[in-house]
Amino acid sequence: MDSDLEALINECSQSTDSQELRPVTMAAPTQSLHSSQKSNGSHGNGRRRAISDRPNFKLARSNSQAQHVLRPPEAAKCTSDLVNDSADDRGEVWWQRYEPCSVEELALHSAKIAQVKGWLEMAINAAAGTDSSQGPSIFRILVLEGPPGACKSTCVRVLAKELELDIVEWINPLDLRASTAAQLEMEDDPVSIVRQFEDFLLRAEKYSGLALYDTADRHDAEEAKRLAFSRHKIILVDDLPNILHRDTRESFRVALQRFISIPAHCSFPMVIVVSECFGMQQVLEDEAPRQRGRRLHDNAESNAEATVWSASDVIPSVVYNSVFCHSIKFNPVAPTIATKGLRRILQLRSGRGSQKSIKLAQQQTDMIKAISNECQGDFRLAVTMLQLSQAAAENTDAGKKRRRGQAGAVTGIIDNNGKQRAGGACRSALDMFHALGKVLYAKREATKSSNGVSADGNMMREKLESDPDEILDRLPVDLSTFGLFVHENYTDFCSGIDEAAAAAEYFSEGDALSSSGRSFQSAASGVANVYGSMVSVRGYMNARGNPLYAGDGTTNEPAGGRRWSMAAFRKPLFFESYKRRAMFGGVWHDPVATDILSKSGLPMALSSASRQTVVQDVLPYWAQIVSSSQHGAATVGSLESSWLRNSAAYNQLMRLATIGDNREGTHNDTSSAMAGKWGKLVTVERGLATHSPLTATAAAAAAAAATATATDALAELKLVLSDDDIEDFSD
Amino acid sequence: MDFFGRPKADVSADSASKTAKHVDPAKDRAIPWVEKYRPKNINEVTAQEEVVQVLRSSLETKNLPHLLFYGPPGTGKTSTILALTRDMYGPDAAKTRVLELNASDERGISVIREKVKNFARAVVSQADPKYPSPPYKIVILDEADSMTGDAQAALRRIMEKYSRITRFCLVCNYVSRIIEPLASRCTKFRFKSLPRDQAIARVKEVAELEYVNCADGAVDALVECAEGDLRRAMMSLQSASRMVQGRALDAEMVAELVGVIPADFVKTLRGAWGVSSAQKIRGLVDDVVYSGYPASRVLSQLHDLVIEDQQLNSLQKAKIAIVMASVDKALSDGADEQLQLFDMMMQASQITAQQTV
Amino acid sequence: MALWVEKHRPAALDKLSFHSGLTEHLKQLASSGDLPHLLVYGPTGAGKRTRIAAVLREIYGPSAEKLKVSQRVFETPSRRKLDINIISSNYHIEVNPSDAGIYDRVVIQDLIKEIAQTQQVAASSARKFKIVVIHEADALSRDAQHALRRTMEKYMGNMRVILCSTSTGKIIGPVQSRCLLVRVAAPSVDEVVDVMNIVAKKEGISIPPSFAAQIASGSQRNLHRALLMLEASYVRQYPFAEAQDVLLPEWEEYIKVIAAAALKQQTPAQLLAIRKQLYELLTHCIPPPTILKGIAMQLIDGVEEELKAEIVHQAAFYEHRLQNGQKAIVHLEAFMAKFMSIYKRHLMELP
Repeated sequence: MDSDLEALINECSQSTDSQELRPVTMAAPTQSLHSSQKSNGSHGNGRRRAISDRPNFKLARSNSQAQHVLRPPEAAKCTSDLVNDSADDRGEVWWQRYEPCSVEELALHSAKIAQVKGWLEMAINAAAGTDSSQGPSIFRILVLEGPPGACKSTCVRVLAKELELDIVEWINPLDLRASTAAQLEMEDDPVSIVRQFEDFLLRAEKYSGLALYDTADRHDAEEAKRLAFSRHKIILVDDLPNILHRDTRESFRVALQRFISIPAHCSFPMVIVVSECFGMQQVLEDEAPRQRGRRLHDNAESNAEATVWSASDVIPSVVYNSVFCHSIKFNPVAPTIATKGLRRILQLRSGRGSQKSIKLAQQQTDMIKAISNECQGDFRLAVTMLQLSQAAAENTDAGKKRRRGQAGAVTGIIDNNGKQRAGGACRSALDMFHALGKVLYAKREATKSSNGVSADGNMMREKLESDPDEILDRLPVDLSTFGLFVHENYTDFCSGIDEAAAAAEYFSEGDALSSSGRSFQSAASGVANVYGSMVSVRGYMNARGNPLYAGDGTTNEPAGGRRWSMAAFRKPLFFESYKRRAMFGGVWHDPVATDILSKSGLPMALSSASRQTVVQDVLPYWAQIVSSSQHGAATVGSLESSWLRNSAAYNQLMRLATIGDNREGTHNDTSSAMAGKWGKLVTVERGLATHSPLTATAAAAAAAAATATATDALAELKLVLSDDDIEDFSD
Repeated sequence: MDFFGRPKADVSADSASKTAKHVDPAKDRAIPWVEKYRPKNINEVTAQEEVVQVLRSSLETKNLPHLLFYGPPGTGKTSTILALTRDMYGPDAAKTRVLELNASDERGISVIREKVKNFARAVVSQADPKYPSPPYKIVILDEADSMTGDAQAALRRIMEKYSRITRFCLVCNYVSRIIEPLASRCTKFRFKSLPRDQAIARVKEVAELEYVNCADGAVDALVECAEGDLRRAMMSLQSASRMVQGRALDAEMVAELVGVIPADFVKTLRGAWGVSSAQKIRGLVDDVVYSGYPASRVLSQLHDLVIEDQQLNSLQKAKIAIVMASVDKALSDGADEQLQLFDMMMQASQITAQQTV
Repeated sequence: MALWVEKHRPAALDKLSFHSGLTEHLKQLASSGDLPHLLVYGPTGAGKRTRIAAVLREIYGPSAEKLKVSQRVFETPSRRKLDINIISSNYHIEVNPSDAGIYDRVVIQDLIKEIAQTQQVAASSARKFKIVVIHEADALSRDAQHALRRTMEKYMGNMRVILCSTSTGKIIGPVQSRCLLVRVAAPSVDEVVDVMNIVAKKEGISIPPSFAAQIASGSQRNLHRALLMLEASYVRQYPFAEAQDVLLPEWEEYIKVIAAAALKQQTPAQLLAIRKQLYELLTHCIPPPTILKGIAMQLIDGVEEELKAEIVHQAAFYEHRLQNGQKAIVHLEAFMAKFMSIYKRHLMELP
C-alpha cells in the first residue's frame, strides 16, 4: 500500500480532534452538495477542497508548463483559456484519449475477453449463415453486465475493431430545447424515445433485409448476402433509454422482444451494455404505495429506494431467459489489472511527453497502486484520478511540497470526482460504507478510565464518537435504504444473542414508526421516517454493549472478532428478494402461466382464489403432481406434449412452488444466482473495507500492509474463479 | 338508522303501502327496507329530540347554518338531513336544490370543487310555495370522515366561497376525523345511540308491515346484536326474512345471522383459563378460527363474561381487560386473529391462575 | 383433465356434502327470487367458493357455469393502467380486487357502476339483478369498502354483492350491516375424511382409514388442501401404506427447519443464517404473517410449558408490528432474535 496514503488514512481516523481532516476520506457528497457548498462548507469539507483545488488553479495560471488540468465543471469557463497549452491533450479526457486500441491493452482479464470474442465470432458466423444447418442462430443478444468502469463498452469496441465489424450504435436522442432534465421529463413524451429506439432496431433489420430479398433470383440473393455481410455489423446499445420511467421501460422491453422475433439472418447480433449501479428505483412500489404519489413530484429524492440495477431489470425475462440471449458478467477491474492499465497510459505519455515522468517512476508506481486500490474497480475513475494526480504531480514537481501534493492530489480527485458524479455509484457507495462503519462499530470516545463501562451498563458509558444525527444527515442514500444496510450487517457486530435481540427490537420499532402506517397521516410520514430511522440507529448503537473505543482497536474485540479487520459489509438481500418476489408475483399476469394452470384444471386459481391459497396450497402440490411423471401425464396430459412445459412461465411457477433444499435442481439454481450477485459486491466491498480508515485503525498497522498485497493476490484469483466462489473467499 | 316516531306510525304505514301499489312486487322487494322506511319529514325523526328541535326552528326562520352531524352509525344522520331538505323545498324541488356526495363517488377535491361549482350555478326549478324554500341550496357530504385531511382543508375554502348560495351538511361517524377549521365552521349535532325500547318497537313495526313472523325474543336479539344501529337491525331483519321464508324467525337464527357466537362456546373458552395446558388452549383457539368466528366478536363476548365473572377478583378483571384492550387494538390494526387470540387466552389463563396459587 | 380438487368440486347445492343446515338456508335464499347482499366468511378450504358458485347456479341455472376469463383495464386517477383478471358469466362477475393493490377502490367503483348501468340488457333474463362476487374482501382497502357502502344501497335494484372473506374482522361495520352474514365453518376432521372417501371412490382408489385421518388432521381441516395432499400422495406412492408420511408443502417443511435451527443454537451467526432462510420464504411470496405464525407454532411445540405463554406473546406482538411496518424481514428477524434470547436465558437457568 502506498505509504503516503496509509499514513494519511491513519492520521484521519485516529485524530479524533480534528474535524477538518476526517472528511478527506469521509466527506459525504450527498445530493445536497452541488447546491449548498456554502452551508456545507462549514465543516472540513469546504476547507479541504480548498487545499486540493488551490494548487491546481494557481499553478495552472502561473506555470506555462502546466499540463492538462481536469476541472470541476463550474470552474471550466473561467480557466479554459488559461490551461492546456500542451497541444497534444487539449480538452481531452484521458480515458477517451488513451482508449485502448488493441486487445492487449484492455484492462480486462484475458479469459473475459476471450469469452466476449468467442460470442461475437459465433454470432457473426451464424448470422452469415455459414453453418445454417444448425437452424436459426441463437446468438442474437449479448448482455454485458458489470459495474461502471469495468471496460464493458471498450471491450466491445476493441473487439469489433479486431474482428473487423461495424458498430451500429444506438445513442439516445437528446432534445436540446429542453434545458433541464425536469423539462425534458415534462415536455417530451418519454415514450417517443423508445419509439425511436424501436425504429432503430427495425431499420437495422430492414437494411439487411433489403440487401437480401430485393434481388429476384436465388443466385443473386446468395451473392447479395455475401456482399451484405462482407463487412459484418453489430448493434451496440450502450446508452439505454430512460428505464426508470415505467412506460418507457415497458416499451423498451417490447422492442427487445420484437427484436428477437426477427429471423436471425435478417438482422445483426446486438450487444447491450448494462451498467449495474446504485440507482434510485421505485422498488417499493407496492410496499409503500402511499409514497409513490409523492415520489413522482419530488423526483425520487427522499423516498425512492436505492437498489442495484442489473440486467434482469432492464431486459424482460422472456428475452433474458430465452436461448437467444446470453450474458457475460464483468467483475470490477482488479487492482493488479488496473495497475497494468494505468502503467500503460503513463508509458504512453512518457513516450511522447515530458522527460520528467521517467524520473518520477518510483513515485508514480506508488501512486498508480494507490489509485488502483482506490478506484474500486472502476477503471474509468482510475484513469481520471491518474490524469488529475499526474497533472498535480507534474506541477508540484516544480514546487516544494511534493509529498503533500501527492497525497492531496489523490484524495483531491476523489473529492472532485465525488462532486461531479454526485450520486454516482462509487462515491455514494464509499460514503455509504463509512457511514455504515460508524454506526455498526458504534465507537465510544476514549475515556480517562480506560475500560470505563461501569457495572450498571448503559448509563455510564462514554459519549458516542460520532453523533448519529450527523451520520444520518450526511447519508448518501435515503434513510430506509441505509437502515436496511445496517440491519443486514449488525449481527456480525453483536457479541451475544441478547444484544442482537435488543438491537433487532429497535429495528422493528423503527420500521413500525417510519412506515406511513394507518396511525400516521400521509403528510407526517416524512417526519416519521426520520424518527423511525433515528430510533433504529440510535437504538442499535445503544444496544451494542462492549463498545469499541476510539484509537483503541485491539482491546475490545467482539466475540465474533474473526472479521474485525476484514469486515466486508454485506448488501441487503432485501432488494434481491423483493425483485424476485415481484417477478414471481408477475406470474399471475403472465398469460402463459394462466394458460398452464388452466390446462391443469385450475382456471379459477389465478383469478379468483386468494393468492395466499394458491401460493401456500395449490402450487406446492400442483408442482409435485405435475412433475411426477407417471401420474402427471394422466392428470395434465395436455401439458406433457406442449411447449408450455419448457416455457419460462412454467419454470417460474415451479420455482415459486419449491422452496428450500428438498429439490436440489431448482433451488440451487436460484440461490446461486443470488450468490453470484453478492459475490460481485463483496469484491467491491472488500476493496473498500481494506482501505477504510476505520478498519485500518482496528487492524494492526503491519497487518494492513500485508493485507494490501494479499488483496492484490486475491483479486487476481477472483477473476479466474467464478462469481459464486468469491463469497467463500472473502471470509 | 332512521325511524318514525311512534305517534306517526300510521302515516308512515300509509305512505309505505301507497308506494307499494304502483311498484311491481319483485321490484319492491329489492328496495332495502332501510330506504323504504326512511322518515319522510323532519317530524318523523324522533329519537333525536334536541337536533330536531333546533332544525325545526331553523326551518321556520329559513336561516340554516352549515351543519355537521356526527354519531354512531344507524342513528338517523343521513335520514335527518334528507328529511330536512324535503321539508324545506318539497319532494320535487329538493332534487335540484340538494347535492348529495358520498364516499362511493369520486371525491378528489377537484371533483368536489367542480361539482359544487356547477351545482351552485345551476338554475333551480320553481320553488314550491307550500314549503319555506330558502334561497340557498344544500350540499350533503355523506361519510365525510373518510375524506383526507387535504381534501378537507380545501373544502374549507370552497365552503367560504359559496356560502352565500349554498349550505353544507357534513355527515360523519367520528367528529375527531374532521379537521378543526372545518368543524368550527359548522354547527355540530351529536346523534345519540337509539334507546333500546324505541329500536325494538320500530323493528317490530316494520316486521309487521312486511309480514315477517317473529318468534319471541327474535326482535330483542336483533336489536341487541345491532348495538344501537337501527339500520343494521333493519338489514338483518330483511335478510332474515328472506331466509326464513314465512317460517318463524327465532332468536337462535338471528344470532347465527348476525354472527353471534354461541354462549356455550364462549363459556368453554373462559373455562379453559387457569387450568388448561398451552396445547389445549391452542386447540380451542384453533376451533374458534376454524369455525370462522370473528376474533373481535369472541373478544367482546368474553369481555362481557369476564365483567360478571364471580371467580375473578377486580384486579384480575382489570388485568384481563387490559390484555383484551391491547389485543383488540392489534386486531383492529389487522393483526392475525389466531395469534392474537392465542396470546390473549394464554395471558388471561396466567392471570386467572395467579388467583388459585 | 384436472386436479381432483377442481374435478370433484360439487356444482349444485344438492351435491354439497356438509353443513346441511347452511345449505338449506342458501337454497331458500336462492329460491326466494331475491337475494340480499351476502358476506360469506370462514377459514380457507371450508368451501366458500364452492358454495357461492352453487348458489349462482341455483339462481341462474347451469348457464351460470359458463365462465370466461377476461382481462379488463382500469385507469387510476393518476392515469396508470391496471390489468385485472375478471371471471364472468352472463349473470355475474367475479373479481379479486387484491390484484389492484391500493387502487382497488377504482376497480370496485367502475365495475359496480358499470353493472348498475347495464340493467336494461339484463332485464330480459330471469332475474332482475346481476351479481358481483368480490373475492378476498378482507384485503379491500378501507377506501374501497367505503365506496361499497353506499353503492350497495343505491344500486340494490339491479345488483347484488357477494363478498367472500376469511374473517369479518377486516370488513368495516357499515358494509357488514348491509350484508347477510353467511358463516362457512371448516369441515370437521370426519367430514374431511368423508369427502376424501367420496373422491377416492370416484377415482377408483382406496385409502386406508388411518392415512385418511392423518391427511385430514394434517390439512388443518382445510378440505382444499386435504384433497391436494391426497392427490400428491397418490402421485408419489400408491397403493397407500398405513403409515405413509403426509406431504406438507415445501414452505412448511422449510419453516420447520428454521424453527429447529433457532432451537438448536442461539447466536448472532445463527440469526444471520436464519435471516437468509426467511428471505427465501419471503421471496416465494409466502405472506410474512404466515411465516411468523408457522414458526411460532413450531417453537411453541419445541419449548417447555412455562415458556409458551411468553413465546405466544412475543409472536403476537411482532405479528402486530408486521401489520404496521413496511419491511417484513425486520420484524420477523426481531421475533427470532427475541425468541433466541429468551430461550437461551431459559436454558442457562436450567440446572
